[in-house]
Amino acid sequence: MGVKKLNELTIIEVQKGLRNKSFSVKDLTKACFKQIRKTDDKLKAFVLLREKESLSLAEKYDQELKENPEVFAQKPLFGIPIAVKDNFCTKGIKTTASADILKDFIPPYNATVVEKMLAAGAIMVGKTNMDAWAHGSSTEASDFFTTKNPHDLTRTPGGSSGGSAAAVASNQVIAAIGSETAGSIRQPAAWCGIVGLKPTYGRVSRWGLIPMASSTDSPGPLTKTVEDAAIILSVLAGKDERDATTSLEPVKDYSRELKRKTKNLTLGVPQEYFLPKMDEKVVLTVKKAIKKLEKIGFKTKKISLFDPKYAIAVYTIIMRAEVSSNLGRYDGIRFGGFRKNFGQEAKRRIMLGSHVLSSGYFDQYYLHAQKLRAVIVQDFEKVFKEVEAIAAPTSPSVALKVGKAAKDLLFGEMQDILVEASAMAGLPGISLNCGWVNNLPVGLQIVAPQFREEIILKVAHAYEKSGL
Amino acid sequence: MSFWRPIIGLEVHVELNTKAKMFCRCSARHFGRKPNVHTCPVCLGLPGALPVPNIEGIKRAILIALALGARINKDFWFDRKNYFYPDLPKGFQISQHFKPIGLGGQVPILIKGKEKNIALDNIHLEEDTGKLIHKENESLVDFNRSGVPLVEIVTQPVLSSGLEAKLYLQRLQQALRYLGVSDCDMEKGSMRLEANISVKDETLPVGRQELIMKNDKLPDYKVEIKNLNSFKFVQKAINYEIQRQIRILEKSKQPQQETRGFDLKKGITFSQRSKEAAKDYRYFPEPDIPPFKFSKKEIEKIKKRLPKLPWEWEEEMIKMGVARTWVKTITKSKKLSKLFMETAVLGKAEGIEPDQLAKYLVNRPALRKEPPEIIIKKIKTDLSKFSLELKEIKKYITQALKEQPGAVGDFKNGKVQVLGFLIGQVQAKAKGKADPKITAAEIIKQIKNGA
Amino acid sequence: MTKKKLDLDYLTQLGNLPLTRKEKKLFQKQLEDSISYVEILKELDVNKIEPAVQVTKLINVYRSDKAGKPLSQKQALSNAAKVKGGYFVTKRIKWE
Repeated sequence: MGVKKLNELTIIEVQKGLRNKSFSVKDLTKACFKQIRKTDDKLKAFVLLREKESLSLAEKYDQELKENPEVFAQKPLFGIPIAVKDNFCTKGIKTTASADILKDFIPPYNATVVEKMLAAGAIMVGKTNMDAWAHGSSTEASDFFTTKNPHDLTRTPGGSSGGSAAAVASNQVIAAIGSETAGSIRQPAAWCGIVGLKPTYGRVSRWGLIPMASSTDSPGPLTKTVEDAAIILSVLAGKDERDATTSLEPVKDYSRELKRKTKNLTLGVPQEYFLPKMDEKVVLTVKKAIKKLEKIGFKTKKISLFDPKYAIAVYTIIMRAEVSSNLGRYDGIRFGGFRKNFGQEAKRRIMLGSHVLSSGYFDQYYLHAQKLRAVIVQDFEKVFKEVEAIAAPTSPSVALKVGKAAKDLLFGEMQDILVEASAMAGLPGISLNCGWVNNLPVGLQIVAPQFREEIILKVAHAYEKSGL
Repeated sequence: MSFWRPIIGLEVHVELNTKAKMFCRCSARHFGRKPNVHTCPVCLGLPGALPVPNIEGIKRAILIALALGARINKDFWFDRKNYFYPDLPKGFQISQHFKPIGLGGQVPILIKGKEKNIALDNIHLEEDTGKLIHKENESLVDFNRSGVPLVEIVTQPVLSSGLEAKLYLQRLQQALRYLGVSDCDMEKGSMRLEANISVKDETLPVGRQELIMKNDKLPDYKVEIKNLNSFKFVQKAINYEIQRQIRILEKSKQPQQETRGFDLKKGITFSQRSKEAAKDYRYFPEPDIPPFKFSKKEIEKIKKRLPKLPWEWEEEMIKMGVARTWVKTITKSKKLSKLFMETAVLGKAEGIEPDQLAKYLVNRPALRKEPPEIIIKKIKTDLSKFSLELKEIKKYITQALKEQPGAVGDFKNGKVQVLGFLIGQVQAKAKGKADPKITAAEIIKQIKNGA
Repeated sequence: MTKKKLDLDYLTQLGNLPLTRKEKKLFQKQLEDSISYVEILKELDVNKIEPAVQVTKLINVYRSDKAGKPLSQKQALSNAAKVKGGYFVTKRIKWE
């Protein structure tokens, strides 16, 4: 096993290295940019890079580290080069949501997530590509260009946080921030073979996150290890006065929690989430992973969840309704371009969303879907009385070839079939790599009740550490 | 003979004078400021911004609803009202549709000597839009006002004339000023309104004696009149519009459902655009703001903030014996009402009747700047100056007229200026304590009756 | 499943979305297919259930009535295509 290059390190390894003076923040940052220069022409994970600013900040941090070697206590992400999905507002720095209409938009304010990451000492090397407005599951719907999967450049990295996932998986950065409405963190994490954590809805502030579906959007980390995800979660979680949907639930010390011994943790395995049309090999890989979990010491139990095909319909209606409203502010007067420059996918979603809310249709579509959403919430509550967490495949397939999405209109929703229900219920979920099929990564997801991120971190960490 | 019944509903928007806007921390005091100096990502509708409700806006909306006798929806939430307009930065207005804070209620008015309660439909809370200024080839937008808290008060369609509408508006304005929740200034725009007008044919059938049973069915159309900037214009516009609709109905046609503006110069209403799609607001609950659940106790706490309302002040003053005409003037201002009450208490002790006090306060505006003790003192001085009783005055007059037959004769011959001389004679006897006005009247009376 | 007909002209008005004729034709079919898919929800009876608009179970979230620092006029106008004298500029609104 060769020595890792600096950009291949994890957050924890970086901290160790900086503490031991094995390398400087500047060395690390330079290594990341070297990798970006080497790979991003083909990968296209980034829409904006900040090399000069990042190196200058790295120099400053090296000085700070010299003066205060214990800086990590106040700044848990000190010196860590990260990428931020381009739907998070960054003050004075272009923020586009990979949409043509916003191609010149420079927000006069920072998203809370960005504020917190920067305050914790992270170095934002750039903004990453995504499906425009987060409308997609492959990053092909970006108005600019398609990001590729680092494991196979003829395939997509998943979406909508495809750029962030690709940047982490290809070691262009140490960690990244993404967002999930229903699958947009977990699915690209699965397709790129990394860790993707979607916190409970309301755990992390959405202030400054360009919204897709206001009632399910959750910012979250994409990292190389579960421990890294826990560190970032601790930085991001908490109530924000600027976001009325953030919870007062106390923020746990997730890094400590995930190391705690677990006794009698039962994982529910939902039979409905092993779909008939799924890739057989993917099903086998995930089933093997679940057997490994049993070997580690977790109990498993067959459970039954609400048929995911209904979740797709519920999600489709509610999400498009909220999208049609959230995209109403783009009229070209205060910022941005004109509405005729919306991409086709955005236009379709706006129209469908308007339809399900319109006079005469509201009851049979929107209201009906919201009631079913309550049923989905209750269904999970019922299941969590029997088990502590749920284990299942993250995606019905491995990364698909570029161009596959265009043919199927509900592509996104179908791809996200295994994550939509938990997203609609606001539950936390994590995806981590559990194997390979045709040299492409397969994702295993763990879902827990609201505000029990420590459970999913514990299980995922135990699996990752077991090396089985 | 046709009997046309106008059916009018009013929607009044009132800007609350809170310190901050309804969903962000920008200052709500926007009047007269340079454009776009009170904005932030929220009220500017920037991508990623989120609304957080101002509790004072909510409390004031509840206060208004309580004052107007509405039922409070203790469980309420906000809804998005989706439409497009340059002054609406998010492409939706945060308002209330499904669960308005107040349901029902009424506003008492006095019309042609009779009391009438104008029934309300609902009272709800929402945010204001920005302001548009129209130039020849472009429109300018200022978002200082965007997000300011607005309470909308909607009547049932129970008003039946321009005059009723005006009286309702004056009454509503008075009540809201008493509550101290808004300036309610039509000129400054902190009070705005729209009228919805239809006309119904309630013609008596020819040859039949009995009246048609008043059925509740409203006409199939209604016309919305916007941009009415004063109560006077409202009355004019409504009266014009009623006649305009009647002229159409008389031709057996139906007035078009549309939005109209009022041209003050010409005194007419004119058509403005109205797309049907524009009225499909696609209301749905605001996902960025969790719902509210108020307890009975919390509502009671807000109720304690309720001051006495104008009609309550009026009732009290009338019971105290004050003439209606003084009551009307005094209750125009809460400050004056309060001053009156305070002073009346002192006055009673000093033998000054409330009605008398009221008359003084109305006729001598300078007195209103004085504290109660000074007012009483000044009135007493005034009264004591002319403290002579009528009986006594009459006696002195009879004497004086007897003593001055020449002057009386001059007066009878048309020399009216001699009256002053006669008054002087009476005052000399009265040592200056005869009220000159009363004296003059009595002198004339006595001369006429053959002194 | 019976295909539901969508009034695309109405929807483009609602969404303030200028569409080319080609787009309208394309979207007509695509949207109707999507709507057909979600019809499966009608299989489920949810009459007695309260809609779940807020999964957080939060209530009564508000802020105090205190004014804070706004954006400067310059910042507020910084992304606009056209400004004049401190105002945002848009094409003349026809109906007022």
